[in-house]
Amino acid sequence: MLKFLPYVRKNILGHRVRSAMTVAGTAVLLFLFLFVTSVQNGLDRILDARDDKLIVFQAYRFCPSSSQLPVFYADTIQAVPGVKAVLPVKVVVNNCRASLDTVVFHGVDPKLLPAVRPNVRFLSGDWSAFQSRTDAALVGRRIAERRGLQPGQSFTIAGITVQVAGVFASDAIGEENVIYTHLTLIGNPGSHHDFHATLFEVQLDDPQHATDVAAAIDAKIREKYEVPTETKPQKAHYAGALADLLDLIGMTRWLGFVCVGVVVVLVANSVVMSAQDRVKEHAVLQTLGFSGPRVFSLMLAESCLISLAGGLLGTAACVGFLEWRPMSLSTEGVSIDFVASGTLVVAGLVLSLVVGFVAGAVPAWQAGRAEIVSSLR
Amino acid sequence: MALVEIKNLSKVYRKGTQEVPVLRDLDLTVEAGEFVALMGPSGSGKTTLLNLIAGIDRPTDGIIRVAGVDLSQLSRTKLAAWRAQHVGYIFQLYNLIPVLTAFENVELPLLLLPLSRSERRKRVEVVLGAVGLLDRYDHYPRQLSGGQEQRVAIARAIVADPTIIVADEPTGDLDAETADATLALLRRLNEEMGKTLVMVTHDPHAAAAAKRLVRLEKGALVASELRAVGEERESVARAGA
Amino acid sequence: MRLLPWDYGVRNLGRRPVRTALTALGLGLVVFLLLVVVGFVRGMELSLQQSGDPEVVLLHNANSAENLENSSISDEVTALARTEFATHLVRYGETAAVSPELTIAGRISVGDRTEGTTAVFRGVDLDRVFLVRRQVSLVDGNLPGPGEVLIGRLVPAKLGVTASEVAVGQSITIEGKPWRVSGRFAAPGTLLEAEMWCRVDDLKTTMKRPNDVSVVAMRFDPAGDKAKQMGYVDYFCRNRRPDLELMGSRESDYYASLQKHYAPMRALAWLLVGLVSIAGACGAANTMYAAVAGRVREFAALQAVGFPRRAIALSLFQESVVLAAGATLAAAALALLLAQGVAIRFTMGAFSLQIDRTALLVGCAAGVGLGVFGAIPPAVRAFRMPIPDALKAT
Repeated sequence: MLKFLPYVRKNILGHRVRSAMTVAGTAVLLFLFLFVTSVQNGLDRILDARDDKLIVFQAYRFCPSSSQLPVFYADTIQAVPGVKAVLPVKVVVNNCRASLDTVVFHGVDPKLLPAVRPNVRFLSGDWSAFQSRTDAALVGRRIAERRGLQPGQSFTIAGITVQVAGVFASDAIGEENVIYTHLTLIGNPGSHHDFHATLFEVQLDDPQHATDVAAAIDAKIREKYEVPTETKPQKAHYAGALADLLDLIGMTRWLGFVCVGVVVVLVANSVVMSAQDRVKEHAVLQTLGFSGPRVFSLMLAESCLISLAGGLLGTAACVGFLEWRPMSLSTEGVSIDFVASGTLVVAGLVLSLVVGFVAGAVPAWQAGRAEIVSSLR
Repeated sequence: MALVEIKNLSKVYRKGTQEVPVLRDLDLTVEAGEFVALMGPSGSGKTTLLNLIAGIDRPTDGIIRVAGVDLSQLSRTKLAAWRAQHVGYIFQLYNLIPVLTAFENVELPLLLLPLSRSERRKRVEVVLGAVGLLDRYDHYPRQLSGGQEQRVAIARAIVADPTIIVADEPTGDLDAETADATLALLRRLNEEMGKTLVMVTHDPHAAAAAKRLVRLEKGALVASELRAVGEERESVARAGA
Repeated sequence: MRLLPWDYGVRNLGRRPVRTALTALGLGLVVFLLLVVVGFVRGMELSLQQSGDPEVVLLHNANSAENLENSSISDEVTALARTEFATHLVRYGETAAVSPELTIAGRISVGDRTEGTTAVFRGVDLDRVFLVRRQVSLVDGNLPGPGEVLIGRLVPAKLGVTASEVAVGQSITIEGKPWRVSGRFAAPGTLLEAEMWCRVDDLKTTMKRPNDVSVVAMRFDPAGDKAKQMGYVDYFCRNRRPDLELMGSRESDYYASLQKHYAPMRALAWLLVGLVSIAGACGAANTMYAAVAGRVREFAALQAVGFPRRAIALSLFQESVVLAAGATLAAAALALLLAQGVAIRFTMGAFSLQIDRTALLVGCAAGVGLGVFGAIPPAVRAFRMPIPDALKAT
């Protein structure tokens, strides 16, 4: 089959306009399909992530700005059996609603953060730069790129003014969308000058006992204090926050499938035109000894190559775009990254091959089955 | 043994509910090394007979054996493989592949054989040289004249060293001078390379290049005359004699 | 100018029925996609537009200007509003159109489902809320009594349940407490339709918020000077009672600012529309190129007969546009049938896809436009060859 590839390639290049239109259309549509799939990928990453933390949030509250828990709750939570470490976090977002440009501040104790974030890799700055100033900020890579934030730069968002002490990268889900600041900077002292956190991040001795520990934390807080809490595994917390986006993501997924359908039609049309233009040529090939199945495979190869060319272009464009402009869909302070993973690339290429096969199968089969004599006429 | 043996051959085309008999109960033999011209008025069935010999059509009835193989017993796929090995077809309108160069057009039949790239290259260069077009190997059909295209088509027909060459009005689209050159080439294939040729033509001048003339009328063989170059024609047999 | 017969173009579509059908299918899918996306954008825009009544002014916490669900203001603001803004307020008899409202996001579960959904729950003063919220009307059942809730028409979609599961008489659980559905309300095209309403005192007790509400909504006189009205509201909030940490916003301005928040999302949707259109144009152009390539001799013959090039080009456009228009109409019908009114759950609320006049105009214009633009390059190409050469073309 490989020795026939030059012939297939020549037929594709011999009809430049048609091939170019088909490749262009395929590339655009596959770009779109992969783009919307990247959101789904991002969502799956969140929902499939390792679940070894608990999130303590104020009960009956959902938007981060509405959850106000005194920082001293941390001591009570730490005392609950099964709790390894507690990190109070003040979450401030510039927009609680679904947005493509949400800025999320996590106010934390700068001395506690290094121990609970071993996965953080500094692209610039370091922990001491962050710890040395109360208005220092560590900016995640994605948000730094999106907003053009550089070390030493000062900026104000959502009423908070900080100076960039460093930019970090992280493999943890959504962490590169976060700006870490000092809890004391944004923690809204209460009437007794106690700072408030939005949530407590609880690390466990044994994640298997998460449910029991969560219930114990809530019971202890309810017993001791007025403001009740709701403690959940981190995944469940994210799932709750993202629930309202599921319809939207579902719709984009569906749109993605329609895009694939259009690609199938586009490529099929191109193959049909190619086959119809070469009825005589295929008959000549058969007189030379090319069997029907071979003619079929030549046409199918043409269909797959065109589709693959479009797929390569579309996949490269999608990955390139997401690398150049990392995007995130955020709601209630939780972000879904548009993830251009290796799986996405492979999926794009495999899909384009499958589309080429599906689109070309029927016209190729018909070309292979044509009667020689009537086709020569 | 004859190279082509045809016995009681019939071919009927169906157009909707109508049946159109094209060949009726035809007997014919062609010996190896012969150059046969099939002549007859339009609709006499000569091209149909040629197509049956070439294995690109199937008889309705009768036996057709070429190179010892009963073609009616072969499946479509086996028939294609048989054609690749045994038949070289020359068309009236050349039917070269427009996106391929002269070299690549001639190479096409060789892609079906288990030959290496260098072997294919050698063979193509030989036949292109034989038809005098080696210097045009990288030209596309649109860059060649009609006569040159036909010579490339002839090269393609012989490159795989087929057992039999069939030609359907090979000079029908050519001017007189180019037609003569083409006929001379076909004669060379027959006389120097010993190829068996069966040619359909309505042109007596083209038929004169052949050694035997077979006439068809209304699907039946009416005459078969041997013709020796430079000698008077000898009438050998008429149908039914 | 001598024109070709109209049906010449139409008949040519039938020459290659498979190609024509595939192209129509492709164009139809593209237009369908466009209509759904534009319908989404329109639904979002319209629900935000229609939710914002320009005559309604909201008093809320100064620190929650962008998220009214998180606003908390003192109860006394209601009584203050009635007196301070008396000259601006609409009155119905003796009653001023002032509605205190407690808005919370609550976890709601229906039936045996253990997984709840977050939705907006609004405690209202039933005697006054309809004076302010004029878009709202009761369409089924009764106003809620104690322990009862009135649900908007989009609530089933919001909760991901069937309408019968939250029909009048059914029970839903809000924050662990069962509430009986007393009725349904409509507020067409607004985000209010995704909410659940109950008595404000009921909700205050449940949520343990005896002393505060979220907002006080007021209906101001439409004939009044709007700048003067807001000027006084600002003065009241900043100067007269700064201790209450209040801010006043026209509801239409509030939702307009929300529109701005969703601008990147809308931009992305329009980008999608643009890209899908490009793909559609490629498909249409492909077919027209093929149609033209096979008819070079035919066009040359027509020119030899005496038809000017423009007439032949027009016929080509006609062919392409008829195909595109047919596909567009089918796609529009399908979109109206399948997608119109489909509810999309979306951050704290829900809205319906609106394939309205704007969406149809955009979709149909795009569809027909694809037909026009798809025919231009092939038409230009068709007439490049001189007539004698074209007559000999294969």
